[in-house]
Amino acid sequence: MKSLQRFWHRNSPQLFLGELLEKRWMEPIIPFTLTIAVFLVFASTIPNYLKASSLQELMRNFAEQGMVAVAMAFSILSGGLDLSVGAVFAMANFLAIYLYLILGLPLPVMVVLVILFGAAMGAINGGLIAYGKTRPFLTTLVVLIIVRAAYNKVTIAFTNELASIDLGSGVWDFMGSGKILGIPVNMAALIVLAVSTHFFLTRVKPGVHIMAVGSSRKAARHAGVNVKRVLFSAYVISGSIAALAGIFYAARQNSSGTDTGVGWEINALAAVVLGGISLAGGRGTIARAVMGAAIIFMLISGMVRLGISGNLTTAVIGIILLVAVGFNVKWVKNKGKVLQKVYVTPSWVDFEPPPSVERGSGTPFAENDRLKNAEAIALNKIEGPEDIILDRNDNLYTVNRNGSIIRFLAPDYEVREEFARIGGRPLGLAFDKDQNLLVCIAGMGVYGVKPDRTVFKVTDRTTRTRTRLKDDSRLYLADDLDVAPDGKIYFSEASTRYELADWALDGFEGRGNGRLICHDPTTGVTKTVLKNLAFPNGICLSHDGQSVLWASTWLCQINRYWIAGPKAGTSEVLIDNLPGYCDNINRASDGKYWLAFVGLRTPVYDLAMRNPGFRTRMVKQIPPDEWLCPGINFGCVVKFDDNGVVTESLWDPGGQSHPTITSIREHKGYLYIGGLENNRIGRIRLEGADPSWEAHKSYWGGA
Amino acid sequence: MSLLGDIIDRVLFPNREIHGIPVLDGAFSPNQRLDQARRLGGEIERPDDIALGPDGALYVSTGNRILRCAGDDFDTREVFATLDGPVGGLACAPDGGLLACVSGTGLVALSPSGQIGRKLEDVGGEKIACPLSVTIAQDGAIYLTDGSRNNRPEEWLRDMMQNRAPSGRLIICNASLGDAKVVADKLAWPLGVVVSGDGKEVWVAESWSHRLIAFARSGGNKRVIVKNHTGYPGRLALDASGNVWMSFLALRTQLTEFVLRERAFCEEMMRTVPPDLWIGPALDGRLNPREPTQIGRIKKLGIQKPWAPPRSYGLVARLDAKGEAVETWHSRVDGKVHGVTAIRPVGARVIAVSKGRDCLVELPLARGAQEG
Repeated sequence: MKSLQRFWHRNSPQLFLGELLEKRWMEPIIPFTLTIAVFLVFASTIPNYLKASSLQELMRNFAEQGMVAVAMAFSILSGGLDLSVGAVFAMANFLAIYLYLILGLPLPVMVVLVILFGAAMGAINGGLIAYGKTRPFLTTLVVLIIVRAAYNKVTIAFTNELASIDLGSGVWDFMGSGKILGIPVNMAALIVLAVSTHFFLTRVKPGVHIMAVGSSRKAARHAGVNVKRVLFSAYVISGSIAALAGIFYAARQNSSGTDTGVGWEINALAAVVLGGISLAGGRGTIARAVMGAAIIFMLISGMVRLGISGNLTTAVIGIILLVAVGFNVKWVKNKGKVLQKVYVTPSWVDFEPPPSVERGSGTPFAENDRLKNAEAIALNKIEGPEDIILDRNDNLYTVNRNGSIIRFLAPDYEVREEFARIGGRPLGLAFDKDQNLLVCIAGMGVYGVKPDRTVFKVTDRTTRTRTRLKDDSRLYLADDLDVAPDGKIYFSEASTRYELADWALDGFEGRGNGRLICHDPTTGVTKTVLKNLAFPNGICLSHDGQSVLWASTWLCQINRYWIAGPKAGTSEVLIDNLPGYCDNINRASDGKYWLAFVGLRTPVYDLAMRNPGFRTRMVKQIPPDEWLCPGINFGCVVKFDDNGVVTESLWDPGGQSHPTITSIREHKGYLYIGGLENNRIGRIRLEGADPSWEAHKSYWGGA
Repeated sequence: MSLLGDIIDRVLFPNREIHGIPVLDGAFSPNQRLDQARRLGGEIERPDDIALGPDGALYVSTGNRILRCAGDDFDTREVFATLDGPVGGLACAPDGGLLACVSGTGLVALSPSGQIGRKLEDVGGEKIACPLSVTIAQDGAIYLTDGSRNNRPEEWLRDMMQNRAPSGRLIICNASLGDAKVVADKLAWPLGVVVSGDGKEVWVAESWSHRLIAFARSGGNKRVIVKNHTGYPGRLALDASGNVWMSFLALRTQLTEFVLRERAFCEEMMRTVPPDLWIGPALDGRLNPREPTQIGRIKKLGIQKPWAPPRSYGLVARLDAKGEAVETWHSRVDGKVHGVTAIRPVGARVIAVSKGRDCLVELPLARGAQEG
């Protein structure tokens, strides 16, 4: 029963749900479902609805409405509104017939002229709105009224000509009634239009600028976007698309009636809102506009076919719209909250009681005062030295929480200089053979700094897990690294589900969310070596260069992964059930290893790790500052050997100067101590340690 | 789901009290005035209550003993009496004798020389095993509180975490400890008791239900004065001008309230973990490396944030005639005077007992550099 529960918590469907909700394509889930639902309802109530000819007819009637909705979407995504789309559509319809069928202009010329007309109307809108700073609503309303009035005038003026038009050419008929692969031409055009405008808005610079301006005009301007020109272009595009719709409508109807395009702007607006595009601009996609339009179109045409009276149809559509829009608005607004509620999925972790850390308990972990008098280097000159390293000239390098690598110059470490600024949150450090400083950066990947201070990228992605919904190819939280004798860089990615700031949530999950990754600089290939590790943190090459030691923070384990020898490619637990949460591991001068405990295990937290439900409810019910977390206000340093035997520990009782210890580095008889949240680097002299030993020599030899 | 539950709850029980933790605001706005308090003399091991004798000496209960402290700063100390169990609340009788609450025994009267006299060990046939506080009215009547029928005073944290139905009592007896009667039953750890300045009411502070209530001495129902405090109210005392002073053991935290709701987890925690490592309030502000940590308590750049979730806290308040706080003294999370179990006006001075930090302190009364 227990193992079943454990299995359930490890592979909870909630994981899948959480990662599904995280996907951006989940945002239009409501309009999408509604589209399908409406379609199925009519398919089951209207006879022959699913027949190919019936579907083709539906598509043919729908295409232009879809295009007008796309036109409307452009203006709304830019943060405005274009009410003139219906009128421009109608006028374009008239112009197409007039220019082509009455004046007899060649088809391509007519198409260009009509689209130019739409663009000109858009230019009037856009010019007034962008450069004249008028209100989109009033401006486009005025253009709507003027164009509509002009349309009514010209249709009356040309009544006779319109009544006696000749039929057009084959191409014209094909546009109106042809099919491509069984799909009506105008529908195919809509599909092409939707795909290309989607591509434009998400991948092409001017399109992305429209979205940026719609999201935040101010931010876009600060980012160097020419806001006025972008707004202008959005209306020009909107007008052109409306004109294009008019051409297809003309080809299909070959007539221009007084009610052509009446109320289409309202339908388009409703479609866009129903599709979930924010009226505030910047949020939404073309697909949503088309879905919204499809819903409205299917409702109207379906009810007409069911023989429901016009007034009732309007009322029903109004009510459905109201409910759907209300629901959709709530969904878009609260999706983040839902995600927050379901994302954290704690697993079941059983702990044995750890060895005692009580002073005088006789274990190697017993509390002592050996770090109490640690000398403080760089006091208040550094913010969060997660890792530290010393070079061949005894200079001290460390990471700062603002994303830079700081160097303190030997011998007294009083001079502070910014060695390199990379960004992100730099964590683990290592030197390679050529004395390049390699650094793991949370949120970015692995980077390097050459001795001449130039920064280069080592890697920021690895192989993607095919069976997983979440794209885990980008490095989320690279934590610590080390370099093998053959130059391969082994590094840990602590979690693929949480960022560094949310480390506690990963701890609540206690699941194998992390990875051990290897990058080969000679081939440039990065690949995942081990998956599903519970917060792999410190990485250290063993003294013999045959294996990589890695620490699992949440499981309080040291593991060994063989990279050479008979067991190459396998991993084994070296030390289990440590009394503290493991962080970085580094070599010691006597052939052993130093290990930093970032915090100590507490009986209550161990108990909580056996209670996934408790942790879930805690995350949901109380604010983050109040969450129970691992006791990382107290760290210590321990030493272990290749057989997994812990031999000694060094303590700062009460965590006075070193509350959280994340890193230790031995160098020429001294031990240097760093902490993720500390304001200093500590240093103590090691009694009896080899005063000439330095890590670089231990790794790469040389005098 | 929880939201739905809340809504249904509101509809079905519209008058149910919402018992969230109030923020420290108004008169309770945080300051550092309790940290600025002057320490009186050296350390006293876990003092619990104090009482001023007619001779000007201060009697302090600590462990099984009562100390008599004389001198301007009460730093000349000698053992006054040793009893059979831990001593809690104290009160001085007009005749110079002392009344002491002794865990497991009840109320014990001591002569001015420290000899054990009469005892009040039961009322209505039930033992008084958890006597918490005692106070004497102007007319000589003695009010005694019994915290719980399940646990003794030193097991206060267990009693709180067990979250059982309240079983504390308010008991009255005459000056010779006779004629004992239960005035009120089913109180949630009534740690504070005092007769109001006008002598008409008995005020009782219930720690576990975070409220201050009053009973008319002439009889009648209880009256709730303050229904929801941010902290766990401790002992009460009256000063010469009729104001009531109130101490707080600790502040409530969201985590503790959450664990109290999580019964299965809480029971398992009590069964398997030593009490000083439980989630819950503590008197002691010193850190134990294996105690539960909360995110907000993680030191940043070597600094413990004073607004972190408080495992222990120092807080005392002066109340007005209506029972509302008018002035408060705080020792915040990074402070040094935590776990105040008693506060007593002594002449013109006010002395607080910091059980958590083993000392007596004198409050700074002048308003001055208190805002910090």
